[in-house]
Amino acid sequence: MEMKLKTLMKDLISEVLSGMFFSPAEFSDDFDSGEINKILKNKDIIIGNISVQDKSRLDVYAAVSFETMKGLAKDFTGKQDVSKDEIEGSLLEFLNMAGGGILADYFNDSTAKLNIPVISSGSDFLNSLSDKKSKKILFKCILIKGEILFACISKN
Amino acid sequence: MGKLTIMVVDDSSPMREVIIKTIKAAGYTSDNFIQASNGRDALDLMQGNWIDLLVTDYNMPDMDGLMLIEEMKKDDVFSSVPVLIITTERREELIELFIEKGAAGYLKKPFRPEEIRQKISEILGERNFDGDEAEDFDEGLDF
Repeated sequence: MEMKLKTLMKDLISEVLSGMFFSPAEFSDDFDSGEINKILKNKDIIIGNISVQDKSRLDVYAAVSFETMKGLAKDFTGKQDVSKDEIEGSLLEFLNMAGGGILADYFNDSTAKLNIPVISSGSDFLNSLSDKKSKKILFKCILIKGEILFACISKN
Repeated sequence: MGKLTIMVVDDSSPMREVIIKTIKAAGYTSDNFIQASNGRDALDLMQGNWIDLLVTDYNMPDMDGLMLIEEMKKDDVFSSVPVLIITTERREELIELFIEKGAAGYLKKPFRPEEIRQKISEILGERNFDGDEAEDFDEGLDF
């Protein structure tokens, strides 16, 4: 189950990044909790979250530096300069597109619902990660412009 | 050839800009794009404006794309406006529901620019397409 979801997520993220953000991506599973803390200590981090609600709940978080996301937002919108709202909006739309694929390809129940993506705080993200009852998938996406940390957290 | 008025409805402002840029790059000579962030805002903005094509997202706060189509179909004038849904949704039963409720077409996100051109061409016909203004899709868009 976890391997299927991880593979699906990587495929969807690749599709969205290459198709809409013009950014080829590679993936790595090779990092530890120390690296997560290091990433989250960066004050210029921006975190987005989208959830799929079924009988269980699946949360997908993406944590990325503001500068990396700024570059992606420029490519996405085709604008030379982008505002903070446009940078956050680009991250949310990115999660929305990936989340739509997860809903369609992973959830068989037609009552499952994709919620509206939101910007999250670092503490929300860390609280979700530290929940021992949930299952977690972690990996990072390596781009020319930087890295994006992904966490997929499922709760029954 | 008259200019089209196209309404783009999406709660994501960057996505609205991407859709507008892609439609322009596809050679549709609309100088008149109206933007709305959800179905309710779209209905308000339609009052007093003739719309040739409405391009809408499905999953939006307040009023989603399906509810927007349902409201438009209740109105004698708005019911004739063709609606293209561009959404992350891929579930077949939902896509069938879009068409059943009256959507003229459906496109999934992420999309390729040529897919937008093809869909709009299917809905509006080639008469509204200005090939001279279209960018060469093989060269990629200047995003």
